[in-house]
Amino acid sequence: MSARTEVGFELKGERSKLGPLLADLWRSRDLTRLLAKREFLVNYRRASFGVLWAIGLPLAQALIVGLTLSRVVRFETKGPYALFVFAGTLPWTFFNGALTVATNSIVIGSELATRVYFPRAVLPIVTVLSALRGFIPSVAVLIGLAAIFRVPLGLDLFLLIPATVLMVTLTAGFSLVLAALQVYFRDMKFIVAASTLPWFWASGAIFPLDKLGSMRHWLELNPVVGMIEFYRASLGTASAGWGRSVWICAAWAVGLIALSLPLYRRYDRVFVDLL
Amino acid sequence: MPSAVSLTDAGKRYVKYDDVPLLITRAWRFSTGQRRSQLWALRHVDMEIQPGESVGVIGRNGAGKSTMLRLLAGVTGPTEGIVRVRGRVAPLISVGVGFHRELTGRENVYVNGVILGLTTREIDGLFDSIVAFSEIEDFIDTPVKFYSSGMFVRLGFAVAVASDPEVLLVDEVLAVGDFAFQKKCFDRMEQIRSGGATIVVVSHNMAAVRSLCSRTIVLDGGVPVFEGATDEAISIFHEMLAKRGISAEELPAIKITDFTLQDEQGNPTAHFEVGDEMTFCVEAQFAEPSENPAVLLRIYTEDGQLVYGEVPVLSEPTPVDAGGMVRWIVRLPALLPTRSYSAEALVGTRLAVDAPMSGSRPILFYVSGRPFVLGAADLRATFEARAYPSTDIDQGAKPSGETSPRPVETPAPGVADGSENFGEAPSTLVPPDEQFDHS
Repeated sequence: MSARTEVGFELKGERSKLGPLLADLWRSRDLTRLLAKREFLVNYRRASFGVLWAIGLPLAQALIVGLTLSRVVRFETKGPYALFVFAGTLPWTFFNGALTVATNSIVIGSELATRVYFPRAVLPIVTVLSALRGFIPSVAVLIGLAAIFRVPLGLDLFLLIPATVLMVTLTAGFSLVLAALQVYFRDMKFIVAASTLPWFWASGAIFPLDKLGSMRHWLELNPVVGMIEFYRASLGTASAGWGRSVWICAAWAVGLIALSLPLYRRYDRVFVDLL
Repeated sequence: MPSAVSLTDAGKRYVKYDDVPLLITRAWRFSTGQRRSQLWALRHVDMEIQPGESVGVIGRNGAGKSTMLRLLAGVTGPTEGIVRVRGRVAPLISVGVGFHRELTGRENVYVNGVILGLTTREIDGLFDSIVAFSEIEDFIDTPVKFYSSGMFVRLGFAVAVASDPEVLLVDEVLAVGDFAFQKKCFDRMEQIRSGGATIVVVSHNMAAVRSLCSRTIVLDGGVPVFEGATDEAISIFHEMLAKRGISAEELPAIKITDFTLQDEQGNPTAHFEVGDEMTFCVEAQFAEPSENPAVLLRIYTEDGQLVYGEVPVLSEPTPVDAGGMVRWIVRLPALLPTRSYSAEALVGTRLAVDAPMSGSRPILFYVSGRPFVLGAADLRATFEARAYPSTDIDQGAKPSGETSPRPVETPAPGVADGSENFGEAPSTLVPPDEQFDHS
């Protein structure tokens, strides 16, 4: 066989070294890609409408919220309200869906993890990437919807790319940290489930930030606000001064990833002891 | 040449959890300052394995075997000491782990190969040989949930060995699958080993260890107590089991003074070929008189399954007075498959199922059985086979011409007599995906 990169390992103590850990993670990209593909296929292969569910879910949510709420209160939003809501529920559904599954990913992956070594960080990352596969086509629906509502689309549309990168990084950051905690505190997933609703209401997914006054600054500390505003910005429907919330979101994302490094360095090779 | 596997004073300590790990229970323990009990599953292990060597690891349950496997696979880090592995490790532990039931065989081969450390490109190159080895060409694009357990194992093994690992970790997996395939697996492992790979076999199956490993390590209580030739290791392991054997209760009234195992010539031995006559001698001293002293002989497999037990009803009772002694000679043929066994004798004062009895220390012995015999006993079946050319079957001749004079002229459909489906149309003989299930 062709020259294979020198593999093997030397373990001294239970902690991993950062260098080899990151190298292993980099070497696991084929594994990550295939596992993500597998998770996606398994999720949607058996469903009669398949991938349509991935698009349909945030769309249905947007429709329901858009139709009901617009009867009760009238938010003044840039662009049509339904589009405004969809641009919010779309990233939110991704974030929430991926996080819920990813939190339990290391525990669920125990059958594999107790027998074969691969960086455990692969497991939550796989969940996020698998969710991304379902997310991409719904972005096309978002753009289509904007076209239907005759929202003028410009170069801002390219902001969708950094917006998606930010969304994935933020979700991965939360997923990595919570999946590690879930191994030690099995009630993490319930805490995540319980915080879904308040988190959603505080995300600005269904109302504009402009009207909040000084409350807005507090709300913007919620990283999900920036994540959503970034998507709206690409359609030109974000509230004025959206940049601040995006920077806060980016700080969260970087902070969470930075936090996960020592976490996985310490626990990567001992997670199995608790599974 | 540097060792393929090396453990230097390696040890692994586990924390015992007897409650569900939740935030609240953790917080409670933390605030009340309760410490968890800790346990060394493995300690002070020094081991060097050279490339091309195959080493067995044996020991009782809880001796640290699975912890050893986990350390070698790298899934857990040592609490102390160093674990060093050169090259890629392929764990042959529960073959098929990572298979997803909804995915096809092909998809699973890729996922499993990548899990074992191959790249997709490498699997592209190996794919045909993997499928050929697993012998499931026709089903490779079928979701594996339709596979028989035998097919499942075959595909998993095929991926693991095709990956050409530098270090192969073998668990109890070889107990599954049909014999022809097991033979193929053994051959393939031997081939991998002679190609310079290292094999570590962790098993209860002494026969497997014996046939694969030249050197064996005996673990006891997390510590290696012996390292050397496999035969010696196995006998040391047996002595260990005998000493630590679950000694049955002892009645003050009855004392078993002798319990031995001999061959036909009366020489003490612990090794028999299949069919040899085994002779057990049981001697017991009675403190109280007994009208009808009874003996019970039980034979267990090494993992504790009862193979055979009998309380003989002797034609003549052997009454004994206080202080007297009874000696039983028990002869039986070793109609057993290859394995280690333990035998124990129990002696009571009367013949009854619920009578209290005094137990002996177990005797360990080993039987070299016939190849390809599985199960608890070797019943020495005779097999007859006859082939029917396809031309006969196409012409409607029913393949029911067994040598037995079973009436086959008018097979009533659906008669629940437990007979085979041979009377029915050939198209319904065997569902296609069960054809490969020999396990």
